Order: sequence, then structure tokens, then C-alpha cells
Amino acid sequence: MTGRSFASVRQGVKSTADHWARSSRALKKDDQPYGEKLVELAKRHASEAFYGCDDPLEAAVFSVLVEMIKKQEQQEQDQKESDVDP
Amino acid sequence: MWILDSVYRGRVELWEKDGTVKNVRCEYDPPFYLHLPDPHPHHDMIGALESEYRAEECTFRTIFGDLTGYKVFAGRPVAEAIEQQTQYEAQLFNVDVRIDQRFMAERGIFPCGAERESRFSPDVPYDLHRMEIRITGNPARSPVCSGIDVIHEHTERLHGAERDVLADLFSLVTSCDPDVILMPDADTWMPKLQEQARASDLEMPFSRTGKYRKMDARSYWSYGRVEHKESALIPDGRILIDTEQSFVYREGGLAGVLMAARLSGLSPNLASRFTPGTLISSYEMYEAVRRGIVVPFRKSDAESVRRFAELRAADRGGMMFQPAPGVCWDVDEIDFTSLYPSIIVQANLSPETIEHPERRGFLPEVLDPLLGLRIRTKQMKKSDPRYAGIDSILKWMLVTCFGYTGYKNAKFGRIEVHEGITGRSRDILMRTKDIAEAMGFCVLHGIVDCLWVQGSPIGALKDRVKQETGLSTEVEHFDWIVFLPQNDGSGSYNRYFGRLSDGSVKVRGIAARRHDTPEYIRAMQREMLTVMAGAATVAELGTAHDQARTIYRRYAQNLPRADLVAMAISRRISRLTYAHRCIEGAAVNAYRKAGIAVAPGMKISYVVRDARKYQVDPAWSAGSFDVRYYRELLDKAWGEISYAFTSGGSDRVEAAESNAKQKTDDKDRCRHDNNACPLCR
Repeated sequence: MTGRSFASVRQGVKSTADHWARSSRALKKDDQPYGEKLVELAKRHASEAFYGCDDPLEAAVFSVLVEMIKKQEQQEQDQKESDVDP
Repeated sequence: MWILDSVYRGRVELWEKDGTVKNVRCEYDPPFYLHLPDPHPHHDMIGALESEYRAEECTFRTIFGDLTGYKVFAGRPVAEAIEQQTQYEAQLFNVDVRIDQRFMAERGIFPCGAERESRFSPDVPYDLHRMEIRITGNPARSPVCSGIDVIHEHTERLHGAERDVLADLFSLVTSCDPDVILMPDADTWMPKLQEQARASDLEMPFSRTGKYRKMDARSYWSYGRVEHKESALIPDGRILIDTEQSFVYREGGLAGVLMAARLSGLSPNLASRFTPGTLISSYEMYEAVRRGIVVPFRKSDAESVRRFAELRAADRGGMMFQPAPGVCWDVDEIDFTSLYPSIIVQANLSPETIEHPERRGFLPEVLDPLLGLRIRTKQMKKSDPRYAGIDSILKWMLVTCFGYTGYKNAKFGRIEVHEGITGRSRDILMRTKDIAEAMGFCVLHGIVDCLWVQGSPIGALKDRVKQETGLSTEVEHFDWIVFLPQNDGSGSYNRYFGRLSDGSVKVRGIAARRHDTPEYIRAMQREMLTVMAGAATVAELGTAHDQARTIYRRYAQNLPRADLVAMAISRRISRLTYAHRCIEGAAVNAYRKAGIAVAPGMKISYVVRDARKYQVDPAWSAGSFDVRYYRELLDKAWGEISYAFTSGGSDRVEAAESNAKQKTDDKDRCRHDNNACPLCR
């Protein structure tokens, strides 16, 4: 083989997510779904994070935070709507 | 004069065709060039070169600027001796440029064309007498040939005793005297034919001089996989194409081979046997010589030392946006034409422009006309399919020209250029996404040089992208498209299928498209896709579910009685030893047991007899197949199709219909007819 190979940030996130998935299995049964959700969220924006992040962990955290903020805003919106509705 | 073939044997021999074929021999003894950064310690060596060979002081041009040194009238062994004696301090040039190619480049002439023709014309005029030779049997197994079809003005079937068949073939070739011979597996058959001819005391007439050039067999890495090239016997003065093994012929037909020869300055015999990477590299060498620029023997512009973090930030590939798996409708694929070469030309990226961006670079200069030609053939093939082959060769040459900038031995490559291209491509795809979103489009998916978007008007987006990036794009409209999931449930980047607006189905990454899919399974998916192609809308797609399921059931039911031939799995092997037991390893062993020499990169064809016991037979000797194993393959292929209807499908189809209805209702309500309005989108 010629040339040099780097694992891309995308591949790095996948490997981080695999570590998190393994760790999730060690969580208490009730906590496991949250670990699994975290794995899914970490991968959700891995492709976009590739544009700006060089570190897979940074990319995974970015992806999770984006989804958390989205969720929070959605909840606030739902809350507002339920406050308005009679 | 139209040059049919060229060879160097102490002098350059050109085969020119002008009604008849004529052999022209030219004395030509070109020097190589030597530059010594500090010549004083090598005074004795220079004296010896002057007295033993001919060495003259001179100045010569590299892509980085002029150098002073010597031209030495000697060959490669002397150049290698100089390298060793100077402990690789000497910089050498024009050592390994093919001499016949260099001869033509210096005179501005080229193979498969006449003087005053443009190499960059999409038309390749030729008047060549063709013959096709098809030998019955498997060349890897059959030691003898007992039947041959010869197709020229009419078809002749030769059969009988081996000596008679060969004598008849040779006399036909002699009497018809074709300029081009098309022969499936020619490179495997030719050594056998030569052996048989010798044993039968016959003279093989394929070469017009009786001499043959030999290319050795080799296995090599190309784009992450191992390929294998058979050894070849190349005749003089006649084009012999292995129609089965030649990538250039398979992609571009005869016109593609001739175009590749014109551009690269190589004999069509070589152009048909080389990879697009070697062709683009040869094209760059021809262009360098033509422009009076010397070609480095070994690269001396090594990559500078960088911090690991810098390297990590710079050394990345293309940008991708992951699709959500499922069915989407009214989707446009916007695709940049030859994006990477366009970036090289537009951004003036070349090894010497990294330090001197103000100079016009060598790479952009030589790629510009090639890119212009590709843009023309891409347009022309839409109305005239004769240009499709030429367009395909140009596409491959341009694709590999980017890869070569990052190849350590590329004559005109440099990793920083490679990084510069991918860096700009990421920005271009991001910019395009921004433009699309600002115009109200929804970006569904993106890979390197393509974006899949929903919205309208697509023409306005195309114009805007051209205006802002200066780059041309092509648009394909999908009535519906299915993005398939990966194993973890997220969207796959490169597995999708959909119906284009012309009613055809575009397929990527599924069984019907993969090379190693057994024909039986491929046929099932094709039949299903044909049914689905009839569905112009997502709603109609839902109604194709029953028909597709019926097809699946029929194939599953008939599987135990299926034809063995349709179960063959053809695959290119990447290695000969396997750490773990696997089907491919078992197939390699089965080939060996059958007495066939296997090499990495070789294509093998096998049938799985019992997957659990790793029992596999070469396709020609298979007597039964493992129904359970093939049923799994069949189910997997059905799963790819049924995804359009089931989990990601029917729910989504219903959701899509409901969304589409909602959208229409919204549109009726608001009547803004404005893409920026969320109701109108």
C-alpha cells in the first residue's frame, strides 16, 4: 500500500460511539436506553462536524449538544403552546 | 500520416496508415538531464561521462524554474549509476520517458491521429480494418483451442483439429491483414497460441514484423483494492485489444482506446492495457516534453515537516451530508462536472504554485484543454451516443488526475495540492448547501461533488451556483428516491435507488449494481426495479408493493431448481492467504485444486456448495449449490427493495402522501407562491 491513511473524523466518531455503546451495556438496566440514545445522538451530526472539527470526541460532543439544544427548544415551544391553549 | 503504432528498438519505429500501412524508422538518441546542486565533488564523474558517453553543459526547464547541468547521451543504467555514485544527490530528468512517446511529443505528432489535427477534438477520424477473434473455452483452463469464431466482413467458424484451426486462423489474419484485432482474453490466449504455433511449426502472423513486445504479469494496488494484469504479447504495427481485460476498451470502446492513445502519446496497444492513472500520468509527461519541460526521474520536492495537528486538519477527504433513510419524492441531484480537475484549473493548483501562487501552474495549464474537451463530450453524448465512450475515458482520466497529485511517485504531484483540492471542494459543497437553503431548498444528502435537494425552481439554483462558484453542474430529477439505511439504522451515503424523470431507474450500491451478485439475484432485483420504474409518484410506488412481493415469492420458490450458472459469484481476490476460514478463501483453494495459478487481483467465479462447511466449487465444475446460503442473499436483496414499502417504506409512503396533501392544502391556503414561505415550500 502506498500513501498514508488517517481515520477520518467521521470514522473516529463511529469508533467513539462504539465505545459509548459498549459502556452503555454496563449501565443499570434503567439507564441503558439513555446510553443508547447518546450513541445515536453522537453519530447524528458526525458528517457535518467533519467540516469543522479535527477531533472525533469534539465532533461527537458537538453532535450531542446540537440535538440537546434542539430538544430543549422544542420542549420550551411545546410548553408555550400548552400555556396558550385553553 | 495517421500513426497506427509506435515502438523503440534502438531507433523509433512508427507505423503509419495512409491507405496502406508503412513502417518508418527514425534514428533518435535523446539525452537525459543531470543537475548537481554542488558539482565540484563530482568532477571526476562528470569527466568520465564526457569521455565515455557524450555529456554537454546546458540549461533546462523544470516546472519550478531553470536549472543548469548536463545533458548525458546514455540510458537508464547510467542514470542509476549516477544516482548511486552521488548518493542520490544528483537530480535526473527525462530518464524514464518512453522514447517513442518523447520522439512524438518533441515533434508535436501523436498516435491515432494525423498532423495538423487537434488532439483535443472530440472527433477521432479513423479508417481501420477490423477483425474480431473469439476463441471457444476458458483461457485459464483450456490448454488448446478447438473452435474459433472470426468476425470480419462476415463470420467464419473454425473448428476441428488444433493444428488445422490454428493454420486456418493464421491464414485468415494474413489474407485479411486487419489493422485492429479485437480478442476477448487476448493476453491470456496469446502466449498459448504462440506455444501451440511453435509446437505445430506455424508462424504466428499477428505482428507485422514477426516480433512481439512482452509486458510482464503483475498484481498492484489501485483505489484500495488489488488488481491483476496478465502478461501480454504485443504485436508490431497492429492494434491488438484484449476486449475482456482492457478497462479502457470496456469503458470507451475502440474510439476510447484511440482517444486515450492520442492524449497520452502512447501506442494504442499500450493505451488499451494501461489504467486511467497511467494514462493521465503519460498525458502529463507528453505535455511536459511538448512544452520543453523536463520530467523528473525521482521526486525531490519532499513534503515539509508539519505538526500532527496541522496534518490532521489538512489531510481530509470530501464533504458528505448523511441522508435520513427513507423515501423522498421530487428530488433533484445537482452534480458538479469534473469538480476536482475544475478546482485545479480554477484555483491554479500545481506543485510549483504552492510557493509561487502568482505563476500560472503546469497542472492547470495542461488540464485546462482536457477539461474543456470533457465538458464538450459530456454535452455531446446526450444527443449522440457515439461520444459516450470517449466521454467515459476522459471522465476516468480526470478523476485519477486528482488522485495522482497525492501519489508519492507522481511526476507532477504534491500532497499539498491534493489537500488544497479537497479543502476547496468541501468549501464549494458547503457554499452550495448555503445557497440552496437560502433559496428555500431542503438539502437531503450530499457526497463530495453532488447534492440531493428538494424544492424549486432547480434551474435558478443551478444558475446561482454557476454564478457564485464559477463551476458547471448537471441536474437529474428523481420522481422518487429511496435512501437505504446502514446497519446502525442511520442513512447510508452510497446506497440508494430512484426513478428519474425519463422513467429509468438509477441504482447505487444495491445487489443489482454490485459485481459479485449472482445473476439469479440480480435478475430478481432488476425485475422488481422494472415494476417500480412504472410508478411515477410515491403514491403509485405504494401500489407496486404487491407486484414486487409476488416477484420475490416466485424467485424464492424457484430457487432450489434454479440454473447453477446463475449462482456463480464473480469476485476479484485481494490475497492468497486468509487468516480466518471464509468463502473467498475456500474459493481460492478450489481454484488451486483445479490446477489454476491464482494471483491477487485476479477475478474468480465460484458457486457455494455448503457455506457452513466452507465448501465451494469453481463455477465451471459446480454440481450443486447451498440453497440456504443463496436464500439469505436473496432475502437481503429483497430487503433492499422492500425497504421502499415497509419500515422505512409504507409508513413513509403514507406519511409522504399525507405530507404532500398537507403541502397542497397549505399552498392553496397561503397563495404566496414564494419559496421563502414555509407553507409554500
